[in-house]
Amino acid sequence: MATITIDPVNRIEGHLKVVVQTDTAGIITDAACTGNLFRGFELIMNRRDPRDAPVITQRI
Amino acid sequence: MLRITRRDFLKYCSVAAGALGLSASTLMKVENALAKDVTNGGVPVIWISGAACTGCTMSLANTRFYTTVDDLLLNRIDLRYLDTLMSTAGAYVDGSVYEGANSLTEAKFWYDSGLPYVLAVEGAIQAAPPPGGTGAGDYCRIGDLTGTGDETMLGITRAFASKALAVLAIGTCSSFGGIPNGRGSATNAKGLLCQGTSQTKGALTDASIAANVLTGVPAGAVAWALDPTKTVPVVNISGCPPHPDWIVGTIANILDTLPPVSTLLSLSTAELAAAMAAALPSATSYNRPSDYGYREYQCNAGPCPWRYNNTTGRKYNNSGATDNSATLAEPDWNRRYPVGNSRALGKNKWTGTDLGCLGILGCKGRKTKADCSKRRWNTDVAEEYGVNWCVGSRGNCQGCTEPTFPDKVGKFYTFI
Repeated sequence: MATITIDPVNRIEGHLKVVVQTDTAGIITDAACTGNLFRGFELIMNRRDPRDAPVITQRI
Repeated sequence: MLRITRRDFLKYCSVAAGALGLSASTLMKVENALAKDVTNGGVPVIWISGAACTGCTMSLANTRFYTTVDDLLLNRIDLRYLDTLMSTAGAYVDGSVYEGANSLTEAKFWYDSGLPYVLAVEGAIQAAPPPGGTGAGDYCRIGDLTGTGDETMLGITRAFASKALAVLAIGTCSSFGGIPNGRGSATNAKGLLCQGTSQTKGALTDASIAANVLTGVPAGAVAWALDPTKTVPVVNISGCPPHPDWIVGTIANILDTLPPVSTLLSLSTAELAAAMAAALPSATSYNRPSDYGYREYQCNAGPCPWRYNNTTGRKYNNSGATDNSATLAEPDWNRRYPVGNSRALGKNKWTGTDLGCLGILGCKGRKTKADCSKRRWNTDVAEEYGVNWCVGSRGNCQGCTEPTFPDKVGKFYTFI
């Protein structure tokens, strides 16, 4: 019956959105989380010296 | 000085609020009111993060030299919005704001109000439209303003920056694009002013970016709203992450120098420009504050302890000339990097018995302007330099303050 949206979820690293649907009794009927950021580390690490991989990935 | 942690502070607030019968939203108003009193009505800071790893926030949280993070947030600056550190999240019910405190709507309050604020940006701003998304910037959504939509980092940054008193680009990502802008990325990640070394392709300076969803932000380059002929004063505090001293020193310096909000509102345009000029740090290349490194290469700043240790290969004396005498004098700490042939210095080989320059192993210190070699990291005593730094522990400098990080600074373990 109600749709509750928390966006952004705070005190976490990164971007997260939580959407919750409840019915009239307050029971949750549906819930969804959305990760709101894409950077594409696999694409960035492509064609690099493999020793660079941990150096770049540590910035995830 | 009474030292309390932020956690304790909030506990005191909640106990007090509970005793007074206040709800959660009113509790946050209490917190805000106390913070405002403590900072004497100083200019608030809104910190938004885009394509970030939150390393810059963590670096801020580890500050020790100038002040600790609790003292900074409770006593020194008025940080109004930082979703990683703030205590509650806002919520929307059925499309309308239910709990607006500490949500993006609170940040937008400052944008709408016409009051001065300082915008701090962490993480790159991605301008590409993802396939199947809703348009440019949709690779990164940072919050909800209406309960039904998602605001993109691109739109929010350009909007908030257009009315900010000053913008601080914290970290290499928001200064230059950083790792999300590495070769091969599909998201067109930009820094605020620069993308790599190009100063016309930043999120604020790229004329090809169309107008934003939020009204009042023109297409193309963003103008400083208080004086439309000026561009937004952006301070790039680059580094991956930047040293906490660089961040805290710059932020606290600016906010301690700026007069309180009530005074700022009464200044004329010329007086305001003068106040800003006094508050903003002097800048070196790429708008980086010159007080915090960014002027000298790592080899010189400390100086690096390994550069004079080669017992094989060439040695350089204090005037930069080749000197193969048996012992070198203690280096002159203020002297400049030897001119010419830095390739040769970086290529000095070292044996198993001496600890020489790491350039041959890929250290990019001779290409990187930062003062890590002087200031070092992880200080545990106030007003003392740190315990060690990357190269001091025989690792490589990765060149993380440079605009070309991580691409043109090069492969990390190869001499370039």
